[in-house]
Parts: sequence; structure tokens; C-alpha cells
Amino acid sequence: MSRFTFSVIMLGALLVSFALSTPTPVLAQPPGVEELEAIQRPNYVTDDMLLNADKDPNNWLLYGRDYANTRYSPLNQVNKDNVKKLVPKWSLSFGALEGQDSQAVAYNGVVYVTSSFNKVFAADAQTGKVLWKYERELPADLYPHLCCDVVNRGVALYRDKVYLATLDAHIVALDNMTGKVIWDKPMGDYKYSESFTIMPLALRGKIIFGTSGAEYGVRGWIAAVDAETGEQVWKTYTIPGPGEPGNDTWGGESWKYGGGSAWITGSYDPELNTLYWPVGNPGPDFDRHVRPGDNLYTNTTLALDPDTGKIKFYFQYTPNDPYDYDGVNEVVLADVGGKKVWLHGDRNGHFYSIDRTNGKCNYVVPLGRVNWVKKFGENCRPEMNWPEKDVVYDKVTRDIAPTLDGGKEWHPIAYSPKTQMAYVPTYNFSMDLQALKMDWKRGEWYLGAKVIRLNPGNGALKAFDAATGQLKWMRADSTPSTSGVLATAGGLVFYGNPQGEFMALDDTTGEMLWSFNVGTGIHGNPTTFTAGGRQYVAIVAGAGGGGLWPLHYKEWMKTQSKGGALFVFGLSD
Amino acid sequence: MKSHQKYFTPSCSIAFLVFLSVLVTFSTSKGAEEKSALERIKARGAIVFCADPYNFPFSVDNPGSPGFDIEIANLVAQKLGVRAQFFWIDTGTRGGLGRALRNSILEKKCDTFLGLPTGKEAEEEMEEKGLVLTKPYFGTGFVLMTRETNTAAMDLNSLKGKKIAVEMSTPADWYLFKNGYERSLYRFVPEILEAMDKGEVDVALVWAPMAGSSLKEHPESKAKLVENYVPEPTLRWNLAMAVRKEDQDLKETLSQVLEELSKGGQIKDVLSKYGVPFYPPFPEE
Repeated sequence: MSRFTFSVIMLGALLVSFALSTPTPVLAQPPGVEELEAIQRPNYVTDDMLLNADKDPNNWLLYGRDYANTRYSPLNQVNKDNVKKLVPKWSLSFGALEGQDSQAVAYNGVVYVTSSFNKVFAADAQTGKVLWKYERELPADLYPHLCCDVVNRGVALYRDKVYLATLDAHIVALDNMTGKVIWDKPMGDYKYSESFTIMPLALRGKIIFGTSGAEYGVRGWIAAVDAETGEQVWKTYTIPGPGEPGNDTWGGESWKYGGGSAWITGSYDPELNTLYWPVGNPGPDFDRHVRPGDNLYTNTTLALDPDTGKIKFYFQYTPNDPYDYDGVNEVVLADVGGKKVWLHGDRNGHFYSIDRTNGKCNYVVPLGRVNWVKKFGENCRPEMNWPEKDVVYDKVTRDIAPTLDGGKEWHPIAYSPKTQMAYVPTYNFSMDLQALKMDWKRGEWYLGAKVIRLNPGNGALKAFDAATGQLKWMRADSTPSTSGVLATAGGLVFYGNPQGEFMALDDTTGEMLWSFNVGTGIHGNPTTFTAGGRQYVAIVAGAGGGGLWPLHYKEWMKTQSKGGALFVFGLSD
Repeated sequence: MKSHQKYFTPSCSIAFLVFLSVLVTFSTSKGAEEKSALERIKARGAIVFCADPYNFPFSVDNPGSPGFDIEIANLVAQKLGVRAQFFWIDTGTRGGLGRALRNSILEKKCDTFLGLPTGKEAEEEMEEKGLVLTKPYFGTGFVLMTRETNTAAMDLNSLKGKKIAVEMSTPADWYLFKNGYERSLYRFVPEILEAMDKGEVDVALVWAPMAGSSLKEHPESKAKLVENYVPEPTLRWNLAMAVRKEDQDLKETLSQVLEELSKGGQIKDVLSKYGVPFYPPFPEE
């Protein structure tokens, strides 16, 4: 072959290969369309999914699984007959101590969980392989401003992001596939003891959350921000200001230091388009005399317009509270006994059913031993057993039941529409209490209380008929019930205790069918979801947290240890 | 040779053995008898102080400006001829001071706990826990702070009817409320300072250590503590150190050293570094 011919052939080949490699459009552009673009977003959570979360057995997208906060799963792959075969499938170590108050949420085979100190993990639901991890550098001067441990209750899932509410009062939006920070905005001032421990609520384009830290006289609030930009949409103070209705329930200027934290995730009724948000105790905690009046809206559930944050109506559990009976516990929306109600287990030792259309009380029943109430009056208003159980300066008031832990602490209940029972984790203690004019707190004197003694007690998981409040069964324990509860269509009720026992009970009788010890106290909430066609049950382990009960940990710490981890269980093969 | 043999007669041997055993018993019983606190400290070459690392201006884990209690502790150690060491314990979390004491000095993590108030209630609590307080090393309380230039006749009585700024939930708040004064409530002392500079309020009843150190950090502020104001009897306390009940020798020694430092003016000097007014310990009621 001559050199010329060779060159021609080579040139030809080059031209051909060039022609073949030139990209040609697969589809012809439709006429009149300027731009054609599509971005693939895996694990995208939509409003439709959240509004119908109760009908989605595979995922756990919201704090209480659905907007009603039922913590009920339609899954029955794991059931009464095979729960004995439940075994640990994987575990994830958080590398963090202190209280683990979180829960695993799951979408499409990816589990998202947080730990103390604001870490966030995303892991494969079947294998536990960590896909990404977010760690936050918290400011060194944060810790003096925190009252109650360094906990976090979990991330909200929405669209292509997960949302974390931080201890230093930021909301952080992370990419749900990579953990990259999309935006990070301060929402409060941690130097003034505004802090977040809450799992935010995603609702129709907004991320909604409330403050912690009433200990330091912070006037609490609930806010909604735009999910894409973090810009504030509305903000509602839990303590009304001058001129606002309810402000006159605070003598003098005491509304300024009202407290009223709002650190538990609210519930939403799409038909009534009402957002129910719980509010905590007033400050100062134990001296009701400097704040004469009912002290609205502390120890209250607020019914809000979700688009404007305006208060529609409310129900207050404990007016002018001297016991720190924090009314911040969650409300579970249920249609039961022919009524639309919310169910609520309160620190003040009672279980309530309240009409969620107008705030009228259906029934109130004791969760255990209670002695600070003489009786209930109009609309379940408590008539206080004073002076016998009043908290005073000049002496110790003995044996006040329940303690400020409750009743029921923040650990959430589960409601099963299958059994129509509400499953409530209870504490059963009494306290000897004296108000203090002078409590030496970090180099300064404050008004406070001396809890002289936490009298011996125990706990129980109790099942109440949701329509009537009648106690159906209980499972007593030598320790209080310190975890949230999960109820499933498989006829099971899951919960944990401070001894590390994670248990499954028969939802109709309370019989214990299975348990596994996770090696440290359980303070988080169990959840369940599927991946690869299999049902998993997850629980966060790790002792710690606020309240009086951890005072007992001193004994327990002699042989046990703190340590945070996530455990995921499945049926053995 | 003969005397040597005589020395080790059987009876002497027995006597010698008895002597040895007595010696051994005596020395082991002396060892079982705990060294006193001071002896431990001297043997160690260091005295360990418990302090809150987040308690400015009292104590803070920051060598640059460690707080007046830390500086006083260093002076005490110097006087004792040993090094000063610190065990940090947060007193601000749930459980407060009680929990901090249980987890630090009562677990023998330190020899003494800095900066605790005296007074009937405080001492009862100390007693319950098996702790005792040294003699106090200075007095403090809630004092008047003002923007006014003429403070000559300023005492609380003269302020009836006037709005007095006060930090909420403090005994000053309660005192003003119970005695019929007009309160203007604020969350923290720095907020009161801001309000005063904005002209929102003219006079305040504030916690001296907090107010003094805040003013020191804001020399441009027009506010100042009223000179020569003596806190009301129920709004003033003395500060002392706590030791374990069985360490009486340490308590006596610390009391003595602190009195020397107080009388010698060194405590006043340290406090004024931080802007905190010095009151000699108030007479106990």
C-alpha cells in the first residue's frame, strides 16, 4: 500500500470515528420548547406522601409515623406468632455518650437517625452500612446555656433534604443522599438559652419547630420556615404579649419570663386544617405566686392555623402550675367513640381525651397514683388539693404524686386503631418538695425548689380504651417506662426501659412475647419500616437525659455505662 | 564473741521477735490510719480545687482570664507551698450544685470546692452531704446599679414607686415583688445593662459579681454600681470553700489562709481586677 493510500484510509477512519462519536440527540426537541431538563432526585419526599403516611406501610417519614402521631404501623410481617424469631440484624455505634432521645426514620431503604451532640447518620436499612455522616461543631460556650442534656429527637424528611434542629438554635438542611449542607440558618440565640432538641415537622412547604429552654425564663415560641430557603413564614409566641388575649392571665410583668417551651413535634389534621402544638411549663418553675393567674398558654395544647400560626383555640391541663407538670407532651389524633379527639398523657399524672374540633374535654383519667387534685371541674379544670399538697417555702410538702417527671414523661404513646387502645409509658413515683427562695445555680441565687426525696416507685406500660379511658391492661416494671411506644398491625406493642430491655408485648393482653437487652438504658422511640421486602424494627439505645429519674443512674452506673447506638431487628432466616 | 552469743539467747530472740511484731503492727496500723488532708496535700505537692468551668466571673476554664475564685485558689496554694490543680465540674445542668457536689468532692476528686455561699440554708445542705464550710473570704449580694450621677442618698427605700430593673427569678425579683416595689423584669444582667444604656430604665438591683464584671467588659457604659451601697440583710451572703467533714485540719488551715488574704487586701485586689465590689464577710445572722 502506498503511503498516500494509507493516509487516505487513516483520514477516512478518523472522519468516520469522529462522525460516530459526535453526540446526536436521542429525542427530537418538541417544537416550541426552549429548554428540556430533568433532574433525578432519589428519595424525594412529597406532601402527598406525608399526608398519606398512615397508608404507607414501608416507610416511617414523620415523628409519629403519620400526621396524627399514632405511632401505629400497618405492617404485620412481624407478628405475635413469629416475634420470637426477632433477632438483631445490625447496629450502628454513634460514638457519643449521654441521652439518646432519637428515633430512626426511614424512606426507600435508607435509615436516618441522629444522636446526642447533633450527629446525623444515614445508613442502608438492610445492612447498616453508613452512607453518610454529618457532625456539627457546637460552640464551646454553648454548654452553660443548656439545661437538659445534649439530646436530639431526629431529622425531618422532606423533598430531597433532611432537616436538623440544633442545640445552638440553628436549622440545618442537608442533602438526603450526600449529607452535604444545603443551608444552615440561626433561628434563635443560644446565648439567651434558646435551643432546639425537637424533630421538626415538614408540612406543605414549611418546616415547623419550637424552642426548648424554659428553665432560663426564655419566652417560648413556635415557628414555620420555608423548606427551600429557611426564610421565616410565621412565628407564634406561646406566651401572649401585652394586648393579646391571655396576657391578663399573668400578674404584672411575669409574662415576660413565662417559659412555655414547645419542644415536642406537633400533630396535624388535614380535614380540619389544624396544627396541634403542645406547650410546656411556666417559669419560675416552682413559685406560682410571682406569676398569679392561669398563665396561658403554659401546660397547654394549642390549635393553630398551619398557614399563619394564629391560635384558633386551646386546652390547658394545669393552670398556675407549682409542680413543673410540663404540658409539652404530644397529642395523638384519633377518631374514636364517634368523636374526633386528641389523646394526651400528661406529666400531671392524667390521661385526657379532648375534642379536637373545639378543645372540649371528653374525659380525664388518672395514669397512676395522683394526689395533687381534689377533683376536676368545668372542662376538666383541676381543683388543686391545697394547702395540703401546695408547694411552699416554709416547709417540705411530702409525698406529692406524681413527681415532675409524671405521670408520663415526654416519651410518646402509641394508638392502635386495630385495638382502639392507647399504649402509655408511665412513671409511678412521688416526691417531697419545698420551694426555695434561694437556689445557688452557677454562682448566682435563683428561685427554685428543693426536691428532698424522690420516693421509691416504679413504672408500667398501660393500655387504655381510647374511647372511654378505661384501663385494659398493664405491664408493671421495677423501673419507669423511659421509651416511646410502637404499635403494629402484627398485634405487637414495642417499648424499652432503663435496664436496656427492648420488649414486644401482645397488644390485647400485655403479655410479653419477646425481649432483647441492648446493653444500656433506652430513652428513644422504636420505629418500624421495610427494606428489600422485609420488616425491620429499630430502637435507639443510650442512657441519660433530664428529669429526676436519671438521679437513680448513680446506682446503676456502678455496673452499667452510657453509650449511644442504633439497633435494628428483623426476623431470623 | 561470748557477749555476741549471749545477745542471741532464746529468750532474747523471743523478745526480739515480739518487738518486731509490735513494730510491724504499729506501723501497719499507722498506715491504715488515713493521712490527714493536709498531709495528703503536702505529700502530693498539690492541692486540688473543684470549680465550675462555665462560671464567669467566679471560675472559667480559660487560663487568660480564669475568674477570681481561680486566682484566689492560686494564692491559697502559694501560701500552702504547693501547686494548685483544678477539677472542673459543671454546676448548671439538671441536678445543679447538689449533683455537682456528689460527683466531685464527695467522690474525692478534689480537696475543696470553691465559691459556695454560707448561711443557714446553705449550711444545712452542706451538713446533709457531709461537707463543712471554711470561714468566708468575702461578702457579696444584690446591689444597686444606676445611670444617675448623684447617688448620695440612694438606697432601696428611696426608690419606692420607681421602676427597678431586676433579673427574673432571682431573690431580688422575689424581694421587690413581696415588698411592693415596681419591677422591670429582664432575663439576664447584660440585658439590664443594655436597657440602662438605652435609657429604658434608670436603676437596677443586680447580682454584684455579674454586674461588676459586665461593667468591666463595657467601660463605655454610663451605668455604674452605687458606691458604698450595702446590700439588704436578706440579699447578701458570704462566700466560702467547702471541704469534706472529716478534713477538719484542712478546713482550719484554709480558713486561716483565707483570713490572711482577706485582711492583707489580696482578695480585694483580685476582685477589683474583675470589677467585682469587695465587701468583707457580713456578720452572720
